[in-house]
Amino acid sequence: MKAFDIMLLDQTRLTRQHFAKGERILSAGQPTDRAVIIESGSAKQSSPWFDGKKYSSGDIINFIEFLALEHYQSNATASHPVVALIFSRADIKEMLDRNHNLTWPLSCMLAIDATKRHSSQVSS
Amino acid sequence: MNIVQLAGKSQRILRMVDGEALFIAGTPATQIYLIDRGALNIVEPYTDRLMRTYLANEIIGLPEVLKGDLWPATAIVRGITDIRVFPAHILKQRIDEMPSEAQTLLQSITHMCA
Repeated sequence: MKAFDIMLLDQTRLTRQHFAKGERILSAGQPTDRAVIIESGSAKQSSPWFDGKKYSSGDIINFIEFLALEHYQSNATASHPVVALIFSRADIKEMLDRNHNLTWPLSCMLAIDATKRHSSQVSS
Repeated sequence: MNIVQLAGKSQRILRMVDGEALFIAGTPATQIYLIDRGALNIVEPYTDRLMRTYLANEIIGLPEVLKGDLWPATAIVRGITDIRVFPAHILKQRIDEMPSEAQTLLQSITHMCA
């Protein structure tokens, strides 16, 4: 999911991290205190509800979980070498708030609803 | 002001009792709901199978309202429940004022609620 134009991201706030093919980028159980955006390369998610989702340049990995949950519930692994941009939760919130004051809260409420609906589908 | 505060400004509060239906599958989603207290079960039409439960401070109906959908399921109150009602058109008006990137983002998340 592309939430931002990657070219417009505040470069002073990010940390750049490199992942080799097959390396784990995000793990289930990790706190959602950071968001990972793919600058280049590709990754694959395995999760209880969106298994096999693929990410490419500009995508935020496991964005719904980032918005809705305190801990990631899915793993994401580099399918090809990945350069990732890492942002803190506070920075993402600030960027979305700067866009419009309802963007962050509405996104979070919708994401909470999405995880609630998908988790109930999985458990049934 | 966040969405919970926005919905919380609504002075229209429904007090409902156990077993009452808040909305019925197949009817238009023209309002969103914020649960002040109590619980709301979402059940499948015809089978009444429990799909999920919403509790206090949770909002119901955002995806359906944003998509302009009919309610796909029925909502049944559990116990004494107070529900704040917020008209969809006010929320839609606010969203129409948002920048296009924000609207696109919200649409993407909304589609994941299907």
